[in-house]
Amino acid sequence: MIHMLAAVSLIGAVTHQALSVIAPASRPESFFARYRAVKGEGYVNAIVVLYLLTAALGLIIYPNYRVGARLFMEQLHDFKRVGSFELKEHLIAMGLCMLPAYWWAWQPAQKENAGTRRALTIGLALIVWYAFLVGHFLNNTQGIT
Amino acid sequence: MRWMRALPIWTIAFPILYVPTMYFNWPVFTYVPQTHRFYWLLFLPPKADGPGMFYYGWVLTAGFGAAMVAFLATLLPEPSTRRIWSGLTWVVPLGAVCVLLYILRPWFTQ
Repeated sequence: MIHMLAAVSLIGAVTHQALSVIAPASRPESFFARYRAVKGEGYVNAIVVLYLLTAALGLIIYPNYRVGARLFMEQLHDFKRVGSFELKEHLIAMGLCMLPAYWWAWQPAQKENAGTRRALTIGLALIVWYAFLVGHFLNNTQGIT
Repeated sequence: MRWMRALPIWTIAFPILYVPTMYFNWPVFTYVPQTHRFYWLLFLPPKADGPGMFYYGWVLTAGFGAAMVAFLATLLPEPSTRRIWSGLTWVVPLGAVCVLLYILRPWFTQ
């Protein structure tokens, strides 16, 4: 439950920030424009902390998946779902490895690295979305607690 | 600050170490969830003990290795690390994801 709440907070923060770098809005005239008009710098530390917290909580419940839901899916020969979770765990590791560079790229001294900052933010957002959706769908297959 | 230079280097080194670590199965430790026991390095538990988990060990292997590379990079003169293209911090993880997808393809094709 705490894992899910942390994941929901993370997905909200990282989506705000990613949209603010993909299509920044100067004049917040609509709901969508206001959504994109946030200052990305203000989200960096929160995203790093939420990512670490969500990943740590996921690592704690991971053994339950390994000896529960995964064996259940293997018995059903549902290998695509098992594979999608395998990919999720590797993407989480890639997200973990991107965090230091992501934090570094958002520091005021790195203004010349705007392209890198944008790419790392979008990459992190894609990883978080994939992990969230796969986790949600697999939890529906057999509850992971 | 010198340690700040280490951050992007760590991000570049981690995927380069993680992919072979995962492919050749080089975990720092193995966890067996059914018995709640940890074992150093690679341990293949007997069938009665259930599956072993290597993921934590892979992350730690790549993390330690990348930390060592990043530490060594801080010992180099600043201009040499400044020459490293910052885009490698997303290009290398993206390349690693492509390789991982290739490794994982049997899950999606059987």
